[in-house]
Amino acid sequence: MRRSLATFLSASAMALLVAAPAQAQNSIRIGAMFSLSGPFAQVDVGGSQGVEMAVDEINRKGGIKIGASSYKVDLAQEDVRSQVPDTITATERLIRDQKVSVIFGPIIGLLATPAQEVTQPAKVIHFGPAVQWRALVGKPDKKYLINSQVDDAPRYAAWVPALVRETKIKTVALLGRNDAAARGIMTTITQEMDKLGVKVVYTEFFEATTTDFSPFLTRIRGLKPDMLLFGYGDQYGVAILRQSDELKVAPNYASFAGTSVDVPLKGALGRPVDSYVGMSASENLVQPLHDEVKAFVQAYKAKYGKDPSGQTEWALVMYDYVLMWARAVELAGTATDNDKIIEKLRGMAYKGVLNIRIDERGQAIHDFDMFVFHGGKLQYQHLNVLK
Amino acid sequence: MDFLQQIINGLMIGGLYALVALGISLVFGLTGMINFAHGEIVMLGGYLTFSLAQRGVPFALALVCALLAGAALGFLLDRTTFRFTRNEPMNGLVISLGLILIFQSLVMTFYGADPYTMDVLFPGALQAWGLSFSYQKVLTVFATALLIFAFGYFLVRTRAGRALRALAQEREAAIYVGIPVERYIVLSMAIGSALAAVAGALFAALFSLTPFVGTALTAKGFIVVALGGLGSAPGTIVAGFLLGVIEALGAGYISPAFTEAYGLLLFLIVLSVRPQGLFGVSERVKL
Repeated sequence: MRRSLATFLSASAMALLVAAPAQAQNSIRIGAMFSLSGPFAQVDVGGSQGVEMAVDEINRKGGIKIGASSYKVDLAQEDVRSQVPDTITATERLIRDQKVSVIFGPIIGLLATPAQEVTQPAKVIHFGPAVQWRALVGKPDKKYLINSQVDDAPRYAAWVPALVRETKIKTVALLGRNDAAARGIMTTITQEMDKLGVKVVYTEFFEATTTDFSPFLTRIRGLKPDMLLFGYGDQYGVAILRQSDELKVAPNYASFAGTSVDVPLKGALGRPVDSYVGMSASENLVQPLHDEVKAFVQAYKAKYGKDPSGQTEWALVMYDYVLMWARAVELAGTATDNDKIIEKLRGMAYKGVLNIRIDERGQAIHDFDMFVFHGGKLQYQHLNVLK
Repeated sequence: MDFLQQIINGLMIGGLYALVALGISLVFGLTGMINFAHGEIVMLGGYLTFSLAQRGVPFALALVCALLAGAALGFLLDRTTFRFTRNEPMNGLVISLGLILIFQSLVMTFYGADPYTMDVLFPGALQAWGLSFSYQKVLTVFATALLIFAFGYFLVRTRAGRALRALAQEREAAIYVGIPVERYIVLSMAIGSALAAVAGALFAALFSLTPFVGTALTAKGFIVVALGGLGSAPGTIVAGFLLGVIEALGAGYISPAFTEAYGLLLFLIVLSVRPQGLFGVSERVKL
């Protein structure tokens, strides 16, 4: 009896040992880390959902094809809880314990920037839309970093003329958060406004701790600009727009990247803003303009049982970038050699729901939508930056 | 008109500064202790109000909850920590610095560092003579004025208020006439903290909340207390409004980058001319 039990256990152990590598051989494990709790969850959950949807899509179609074999994708997820220490721990866990070769997220730069300090020395391909990464991609020690947020220059070269065309403004006041990203964006916007003959009458930066914007806004009101253009972040957007509305600062408002449609739609005033122009992170999911986006929205509703919101746009961004990575793996003919995969990704063009191109540095560019409120009515316009 | 608008903006925030500073002045007047964590009670009051309002609790009720919670917290802090530092105010100061970190970390754990803004309670603004009076701000200023008036009434007209003033002015004489010092110190902590928490609630109705708003408000509170004159309630109120106006004008017409510095500049100028503050009395502390 004792002998037969020992034989059974030995056989079971052998079977597990044989089965485990077999499973590993037929699947590729990828990592996703987003804030599923805490204040950044509002933005990050969409990104996580996008990765989940892409993994479902890949597996539903039979997996990633490398040579004659197909590999299912196995998703290892971590909640980084809107905290830097949790993000670093999660990154280390994904690399050390889960042995992933690619990580997606988080979206917020405050978390993504320290995370890439772990992924890059470990030669793990890391996708994320952090604004702060723009200054990092292309550096020799950041070889495996892909910034999936559209670069400023092409983005604002497309957006600013469309904004001016829609609102016919002649003067604009700029108000942005005092950090490198906002300063870069506002410089680009000023250059684009200059080209169009729109006068920038005021440029000012507020500190991250600012809560009372009324001194800035009263000053701006005195300059009588046709538009107040501000950024970025929904929390600042709500405060600025609310206080601007009280002071009647300008007849038109606009926000640059990083402020979602939820702010002018209902977040700031409890009603839609009369005249407002903003930009989506990708193609919008609220009023889809293309069949591919409509199909994505349907799939989203089917999986999550709810309508997407302004912040859910990150789902589409991460969805397409996971599929793009999968295509790069197929083209590279390997799931483990990140040097070959990153070589394929750099300079790669991909047509998913979005049109995407990644340049030689690892900086991505893809289509996005502009949203416009006229008389409180919301409309979207597609901006093709890849033409 | 924009100049006037900046002054109105300044008066609106100045009322909150006065409210915060009154609490500081009250506690300092009785204990001689500088409680640097006073601003964190403002911050906690703001987050409590925000959380209640998000759950559908009417703002007025949330305000009362913040007031009661602030009083309870003040009582608790005194009983568990500050009462052991009565004879060593420096220890109280150090403890209050530790409390800042504890309260900020606590809020960071639940809310993170990003700003939160409450939903609009009273949308719209009255536009008159080229000036804008936001309904929400007007109501907040009204509530602030009401609280300041109630506090003044309490100090002047009630037995407890008179006892507090007596203790602040002539501690030994107050003891001789049978005023229980310890009981009134606890009361001052509770009232001071209640004022702080309710200031936080009003702050949350107007501006974004972060775990760090308390630190800046504490600094402003101390500037206001010194500017108005240590222990002078009317001086504290006037100085609060003055600081708000100076900051608004400085941010609007010079540069917003130095908003925090305008108050300090005013502080230096006033104290170089009147070291006892605007309403202070030399070498004598009164409440």
